[in-house]
Amino acid sequence: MKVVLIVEDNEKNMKLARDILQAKGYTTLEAVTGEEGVQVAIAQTPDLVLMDIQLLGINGIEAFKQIRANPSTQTIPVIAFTASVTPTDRSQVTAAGFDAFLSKPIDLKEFVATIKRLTETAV
Amino acid sequence: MSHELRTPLNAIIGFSEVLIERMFGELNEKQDDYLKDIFSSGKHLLALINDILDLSKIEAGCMELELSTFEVPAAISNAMILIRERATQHGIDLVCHLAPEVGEQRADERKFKQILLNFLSNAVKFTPDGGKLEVRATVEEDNLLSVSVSDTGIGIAPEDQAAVFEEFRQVGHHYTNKNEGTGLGLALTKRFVELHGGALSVRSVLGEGSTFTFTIPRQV
Repeated sequence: MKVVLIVEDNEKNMKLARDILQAKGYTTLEAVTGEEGVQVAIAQTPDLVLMDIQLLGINGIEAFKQIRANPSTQTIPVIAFTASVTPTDRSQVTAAGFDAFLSKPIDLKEFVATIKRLTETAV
Repeated sequence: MSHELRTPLNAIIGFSEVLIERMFGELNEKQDDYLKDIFSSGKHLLALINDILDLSKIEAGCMELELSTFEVPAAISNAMILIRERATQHGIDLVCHLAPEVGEQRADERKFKQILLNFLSNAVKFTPDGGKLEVRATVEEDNLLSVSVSDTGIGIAPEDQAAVFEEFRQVGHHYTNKNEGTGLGLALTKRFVELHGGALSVRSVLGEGSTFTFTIPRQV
């Protein structure tokens, strides 16, 4: 069973992502800050990380960079899942090198398909 | 501000959609009906928020054009693809006339398509089943690129024609079963055209149809 780490500080958004992923047969791990996200990613090496961007402490982009910089987690695909969708926000996420961009509010079909695609291609 | 407005909508749109999709079991008819209302109202609110944020950005002088040089015929055909299914559902014929000199244009491609898509979706919305939509693109003598959408719809009375470009104005009292849109589409479209140094106009005869045209200075 594929394991997805959800990094999300909003309780309702966490519940939504967790429930959809579990209903689709994934095992989920959770972190509510960027720092915690990095720690859990390194400790548990999930198959995928779903990363909110606006977080307290280090933001999602910084957390992503730390995950990429660590040899044990550098190949894990990371998806930005964010309500920050202006062209500037998008280009920052793209420039950082995330594997995919998913906007909030969620598009259920796109969300499920993107996660499926990235967990299936993961080595 | 966008982030703060969109975050609660994630729960409204997301939780209603997973229930509609029966991810957590069967629903009765009433539950399905209400959830679809919650979902579509959430989507409507999202469209409103997006349009209002765009408008306020333009009014604050913060909207920047992302200029690139693109093929106008391809952009037009892209916008038409997005509306074709809806037109077909209503038996509306969709045709395009492109003058041979219409080629490349330097503009904000995304906004260019949004302008055209707004014209097209209005035309479909106000044209009875079995009608016809015509898209025309030409280059005028004073070096203006002109793009228009004509329909065989319900038309707009002369005294109402200026008001259609105002926010939250839908003129006339016609029943339309394609009740969608934010009421900000043409107001926003007008601003997008003006950001390109262009202008927007309407010609219409009540009961016969309308033609919406935008012109922007030709640049390659």
